[in-house]
Amino acid sequence: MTRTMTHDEARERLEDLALDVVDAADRGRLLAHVAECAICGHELDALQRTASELAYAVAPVPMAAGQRDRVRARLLARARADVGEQDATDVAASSRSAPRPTRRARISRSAWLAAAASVVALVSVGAMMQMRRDMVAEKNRTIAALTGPDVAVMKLTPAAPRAPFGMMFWDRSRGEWMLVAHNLTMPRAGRGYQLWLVTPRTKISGGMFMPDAHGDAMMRMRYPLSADSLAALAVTEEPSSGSSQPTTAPLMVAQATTR
Amino acid sequence: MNPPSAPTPYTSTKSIASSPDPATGETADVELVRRMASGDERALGTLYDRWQALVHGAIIRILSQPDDVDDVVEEVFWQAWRQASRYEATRGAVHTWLLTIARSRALDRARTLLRRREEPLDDARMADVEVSATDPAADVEASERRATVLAALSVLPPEQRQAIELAYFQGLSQTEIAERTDQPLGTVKTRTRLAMQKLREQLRPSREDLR
Repeated sequence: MTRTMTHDEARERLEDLALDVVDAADRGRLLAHVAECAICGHELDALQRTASELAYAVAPVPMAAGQRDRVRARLLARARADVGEQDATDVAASSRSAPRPTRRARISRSAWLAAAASVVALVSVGAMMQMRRDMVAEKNRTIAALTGPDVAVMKLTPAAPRAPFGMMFWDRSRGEWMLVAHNLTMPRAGRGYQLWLVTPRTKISGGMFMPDAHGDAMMRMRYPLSADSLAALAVTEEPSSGSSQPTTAPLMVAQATTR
Repeated sequence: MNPPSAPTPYTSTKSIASSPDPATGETADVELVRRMASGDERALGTLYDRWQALVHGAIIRILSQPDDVDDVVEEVFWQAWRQASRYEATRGAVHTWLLTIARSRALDRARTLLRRREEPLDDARMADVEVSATDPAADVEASERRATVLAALSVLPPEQRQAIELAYFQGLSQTEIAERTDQPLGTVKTRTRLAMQKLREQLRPSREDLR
């Protein structure tokens, strides 16, 4: 059992925590103390604000025109697709007379639809494809990502009844990942869920995500990883700013599979 | 390819409607973020045009691989788009939020590259934080804050400044800093703590301007 940190011990390390330079072993103990100590919580908040100011030490460097325009075009195309995806979901649900939801609310509905489809994928990828065939291009791309010839499917199993569980679809040739999770509780304020890609050498952050009101979540990312490098997947609860290494016990884990 | 994701500390229970001082360009930025949260991609384009230089500067300060910079810049603004509804104006300016995301994403990418290459960070990147002349900034407030931060850093003893530099811009843990600088771990901890205390005092006025 790891010894808890005293107030004085924790106070001495708050500057390091604000800079996110605390080694993983101490990080969890520090955060555990801060969560219980209002004085240290207030102090850490102030120090994190100081740390955030340090970014201003860097001079602005305009991107070259071609580079700037290229990134801008890609960015706006993604944003348009993001909005379009939600609009398509709205069309599919247009028989309802409810007020038009906000983009964020629509994301939740979309995530739920995708999550439901992914569960079907466990049983039959072909059936899932049939269900999704009429969706817009973005949805078709999702299906392709789930059913491609090089897609590995891994189930993140719950540790207890009613505990979180999920599925990861990893298109190894494209380096695309899609996680669908269920039964997630809303994390405490200032915290979220972080996905980890575990290799024999290290744990790579796959990013932060939050569940919707139903406890469902979906996240997608692109990250190239050779097929034989992945040992496992894990999801942990971490500060919203993310952690460089896991600081809590995993809520879900999956051993890597080839199919 | 895009990197794994990353984090922003600006989760929220508060509304972005609580705008800061209308005398600054921050009001316009907050309005852009509000529009982004409602799905207006033109607002994203405008925010990008306003702050790409600042974000780009932060990223190239951390990354040594020019080929990756485009992707990371894109991911910073993409994360801002996806998390616009979580932005809290009371926690800091929009450009501070963007810089926080930029640092996180760039460090993620740098660590990933380091693991992939299995080679140490380039020592050429160990130079101290710039403390000399400022460049024209896209925004007057950001420019003034840069001058304030550089002034605060400039009064730190070199060894303390180096500890901050290695921690903040290269994401090194204290153990790694101790190895890199060939100093005892306790010395590194003391330097970091003292530097942060001084910076906190020096930067307090500019932070309180936000409230």
